[in-house]
Amino acid sequence: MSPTVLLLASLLSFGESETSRGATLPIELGAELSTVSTLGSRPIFDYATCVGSFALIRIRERWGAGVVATYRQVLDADPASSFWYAEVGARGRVRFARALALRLDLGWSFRHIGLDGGYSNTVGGPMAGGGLGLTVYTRGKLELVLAAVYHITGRLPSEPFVTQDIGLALSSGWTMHFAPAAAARTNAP
Amino acid sequence: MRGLLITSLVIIASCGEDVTLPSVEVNSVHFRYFASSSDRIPSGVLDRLEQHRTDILGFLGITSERVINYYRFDRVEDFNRLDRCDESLGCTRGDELFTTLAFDQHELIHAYLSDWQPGFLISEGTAEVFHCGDAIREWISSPPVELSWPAVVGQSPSDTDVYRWGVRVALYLIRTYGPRRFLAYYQTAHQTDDPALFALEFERFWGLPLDQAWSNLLPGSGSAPQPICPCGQQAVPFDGTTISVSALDEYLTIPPALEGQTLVLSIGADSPSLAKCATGETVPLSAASDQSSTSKIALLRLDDDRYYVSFGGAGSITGNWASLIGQDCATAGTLTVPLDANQLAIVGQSPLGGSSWYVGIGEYLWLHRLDAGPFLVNLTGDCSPTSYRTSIDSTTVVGVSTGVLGLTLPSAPNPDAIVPSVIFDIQR
Repeated sequence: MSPTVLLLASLLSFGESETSRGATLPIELGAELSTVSTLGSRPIFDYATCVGSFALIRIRERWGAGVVATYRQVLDADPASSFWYAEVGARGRVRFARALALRLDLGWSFRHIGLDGGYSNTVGGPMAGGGLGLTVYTRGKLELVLAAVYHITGRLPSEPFVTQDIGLALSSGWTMHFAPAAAARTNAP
Repeated sequence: MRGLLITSLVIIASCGEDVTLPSVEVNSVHFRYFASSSDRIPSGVLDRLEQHRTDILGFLGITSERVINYYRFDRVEDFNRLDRCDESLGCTRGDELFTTLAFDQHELIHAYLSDWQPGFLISEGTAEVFHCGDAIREWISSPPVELSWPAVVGQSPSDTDVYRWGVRVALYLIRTYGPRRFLAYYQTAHQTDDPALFALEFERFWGLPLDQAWSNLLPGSGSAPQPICPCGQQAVPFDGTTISVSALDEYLTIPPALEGQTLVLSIGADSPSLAKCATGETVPLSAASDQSSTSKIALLRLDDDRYYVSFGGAGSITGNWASLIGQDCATAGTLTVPLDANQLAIVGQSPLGGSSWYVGIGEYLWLHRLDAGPFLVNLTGDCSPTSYRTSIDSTTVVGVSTGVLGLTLPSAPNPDAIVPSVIFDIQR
């Protein structure tokens, strides 16, 4: 079972215990697609495309906190036969000015490089990311957000350089509210 | 609580142990040289440093006006306590160099290239590529222990194979693709302990899989690497002046020989080594060693390349020119010497034993030491001023000892006598 699913399951169970006190717990599940370009004069790659998923507990509509998992495929991997990142982390988000949202991700990034000769290796290091999003479409519980994103990974001190990228991300979020009735059943004698 | 306070005080006291940088300073355009006292600053060291910088930067094609702070400590422990070096014999941090050596070539290369940080394999290897003199230290010349690249390229300098493989890889790249292209690689590669990233960047830049480059290098990994020496350093004067070699890591260059001239070196230092500047190809000076004396005489007839001589320790060196007597075979003053019972013809005494010294070199003749086997082989050619120079195998250098010199003719057409066709006179 993937870490994302495990984290999501734990959030859902947390949500049920909260609802036992009578409040609904809005949880937003989402998917994200982005394309990024690296910054700096000599990056280890130039372009990547990323797919990710996130789960956020929404607090008073304005705040959100949860987890995020992302797969980043390097587009100019040649001559590597595979070059990708897998990342997991925590996400915080704040909405403001009705349609804008600012987010911050902190977590761990795994970098995998495989070579034609058969050798491959995966290493890890901290990552951080941020984004400023604009809600471009809302319908019911669904919303689409277009965001400018920034992302940084590093492996200090064994690699005294960082990989930074900026790009555009399109995310869709689906908010679910957990009813008190479900919690009442859970806590029934 | 009290214990914690005492512990804290002890820690603070130990951290505050006074380590000061050497304070006696001399300056040149690109160097600030610091030592604990003026007698720790060798005379002429700034000229040597400036020349070294000019040579290396010119060879690699680097333009820089960086000023390097060269800190020469009395003891390794002193600069290791500065927290800038990790228990090393020397280190460089940006434009600051910490060492105990008067002229630390390895760290100087790091300082020149400190704007860039490729993998340790490349940075440490490059620092050894230009390590002229003191040969390349024996532990680096030794064959690498680990033969697979993934086990080496991600290692830190604490692993000696990083140096052993590094110098071989860097030399291979410089000699195959040229110094300018190597510098471009040095400037773009990243420092990493991830072998996959190292190999990816290597193949991206060179268009050559690291697997393949490694397999090219593997067969020669057992032989000693030959460094590159730009050879702008001080030359042996060759006027009979004795030059002192004060410290390890120093080397002297051999000036280009004039047409028809032969060099005579008297070396009074341990483990002398003579090598071509460009290729590092060594000349077998060891053949001239004399077990009975610490001084060695070498008679050198070199080709047009530049050479340098280095030593394993302090000592001295004296150079002289030797030139032909006579401009052609007819006026060469041929000398007929009878062979003795051992097919050996004595033709002269060594410079240490007399004021003049004559050595004949002729077709198919071998110079021979009385107490050892032949040490000049395959000397071919004839007595012709135009063909003589090229007729000698340029890598074959005549070495002679302080003993009596002689000539033998293994397959003499006339067993009763030999006729040396070219005579040299050592100019003093």
